[in-house]
Amino acid sequence: MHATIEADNLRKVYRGSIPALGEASFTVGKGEFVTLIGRSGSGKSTLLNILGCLDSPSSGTLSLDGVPVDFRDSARLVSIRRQKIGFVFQQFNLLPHLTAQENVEYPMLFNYREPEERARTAGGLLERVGLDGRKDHLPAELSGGEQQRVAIARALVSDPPIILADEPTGNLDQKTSGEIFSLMQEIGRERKTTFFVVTHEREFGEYADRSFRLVDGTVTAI
Amino acid sequence: MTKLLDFARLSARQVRKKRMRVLLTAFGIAIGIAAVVAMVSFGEGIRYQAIETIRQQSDLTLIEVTGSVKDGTVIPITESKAELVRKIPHVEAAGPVYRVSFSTLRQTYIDVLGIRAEDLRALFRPALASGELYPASSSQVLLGHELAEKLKKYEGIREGDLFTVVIRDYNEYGAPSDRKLAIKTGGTLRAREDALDTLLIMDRDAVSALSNESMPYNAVYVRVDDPENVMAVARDVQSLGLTANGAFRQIESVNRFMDLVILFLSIFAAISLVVGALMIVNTMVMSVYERTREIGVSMALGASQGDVVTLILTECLYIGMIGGIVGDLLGIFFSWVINTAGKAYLISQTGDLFSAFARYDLALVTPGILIAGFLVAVILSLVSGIYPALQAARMNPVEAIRHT
Repeated sequence: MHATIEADNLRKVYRGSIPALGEASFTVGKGEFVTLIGRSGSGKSTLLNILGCLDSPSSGTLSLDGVPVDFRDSARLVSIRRQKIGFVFQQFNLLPHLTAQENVEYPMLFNYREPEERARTAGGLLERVGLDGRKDHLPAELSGGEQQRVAIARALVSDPPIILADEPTGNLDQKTSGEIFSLMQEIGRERKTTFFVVTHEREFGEYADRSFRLVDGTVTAI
Repeated sequence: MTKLLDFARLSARQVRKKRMRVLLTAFGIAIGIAAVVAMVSFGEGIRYQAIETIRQQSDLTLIEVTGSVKDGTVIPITESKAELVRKIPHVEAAGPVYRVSFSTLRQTYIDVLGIRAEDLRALFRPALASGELYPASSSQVLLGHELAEKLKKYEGIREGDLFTVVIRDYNEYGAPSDRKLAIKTGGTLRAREDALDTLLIMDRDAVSALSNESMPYNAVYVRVDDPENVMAVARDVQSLGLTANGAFRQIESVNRFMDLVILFLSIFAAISLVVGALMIVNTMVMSVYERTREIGVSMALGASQGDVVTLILTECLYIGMIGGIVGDLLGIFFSWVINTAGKAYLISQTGDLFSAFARYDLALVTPGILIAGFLVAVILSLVSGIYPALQAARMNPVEAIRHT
């Protein structure tokens, strides 16, 4: 049984600057809910972008779902993003001119599915995140918590083994944040999806199976 | 394919959202297209009139085949060459002829056409004002309408009269020697408004009998079955090493001239197209910049660089299609303005000179011009979209997502 995320000595140095990330090594198993806690500027986003195949490490290796990632092969990176990874952002990043339903269907335009299948999958996921009645609303007509639920449904739409969340509750109040965390936790358990959640708040550690701390670019388990 | 349709629907949403901006941008292209459409239509209209005028005033299906000079030697029209000309497809009738000249005793010069009576009939369908066609190998002649008038007026020669003409030959030293020949006028042609009006027409063999040695024909007249086939026959004639001339040459030169005029008019009109294209580049660069984050997110969600390029170019495609349709409509409108206000003005300013135009449209909008206008708009828009699309695709998704 291989790990879902296997990071070995990931390092990132931006040109002419101090390392943004140094020697990150860790593994995350299938269906695990992991939080990564760190102050802003500690390299959390850099690590998350590398795990999400949006950025490449200066050195080190990464395997996702048992497959080593070749960061030089951009076509392959696209297909990894399509099949293995779902993203949840702090700013929700829903497309403003698309309805909730259409936002959830959006990734299936690239990872192509027929319209009927798209509608079915997206409808089911919106129901699961508790937005059954708001499918036809535009993001501007939804609350922050609701928008983030739509984003979670969108991240799940290709049924990826890994969801990467970058401070998903950073723009939400305490109560809503708790709801979002417990929703992610439930979904992770139901679907055996690995959640890798970056946060700077320790209090949500309770939802996690494990927590890492990132200090000055180095990952340590708590 | 279905994927492209979904992309088209998605881009249509973007376009609808930014309706005003897209319309204004498309309008920029549309004005350029309209200008080109109107200019080309104007040129085509003038070309059409010029060619129509030539058609009405001249005998389009008649070709005069003459010998040509190749590498310094004259290719004469022999009997066998004439036969080859006759066998060219679409040639209805062909008659080899002699062209000589006589003068009267009072020094009136007369151009003579030596042609067989049956060839004359097949080629020119002569209508007689009086008298009859000449019999074979006789010195009886047929007069063109103008020539008959002239002879009557200045020489007092009437139909049925026998009169004497002088044939001037030159010997090998270039010294002239005159012979006299008595000919009889047997008939007069009706006025035809063509070259036959001034000619004296007589039998071909009678003309060749005037010379001691056998001479090659001066020309072969060819009647083509349809104006459409004239150019093809002319080409075949040229491939025989002979020269083809006729009213169609005028049409050719009108076409060449108008091609040039239209090209120049279009170049000036096309400057506004360049401006329109720059507007598209500007609009799309702005649109890409505004949507930086959206593009970054799309990439994180699985859009490839190709997907991003396709999305942006699809939007440009819409701008181009709107611009093309609006441009064509405007072009039709501009042409209408040229045809109503413009024509009235032109005629009032130039008087009789252009009064013939009153019957025609000055600008001629053809489906071909409209289709070309639409295609130019679409292609130009797509080309204008390449830079913004590549700019979008080359974005670093990490930075794009962070963009506010």
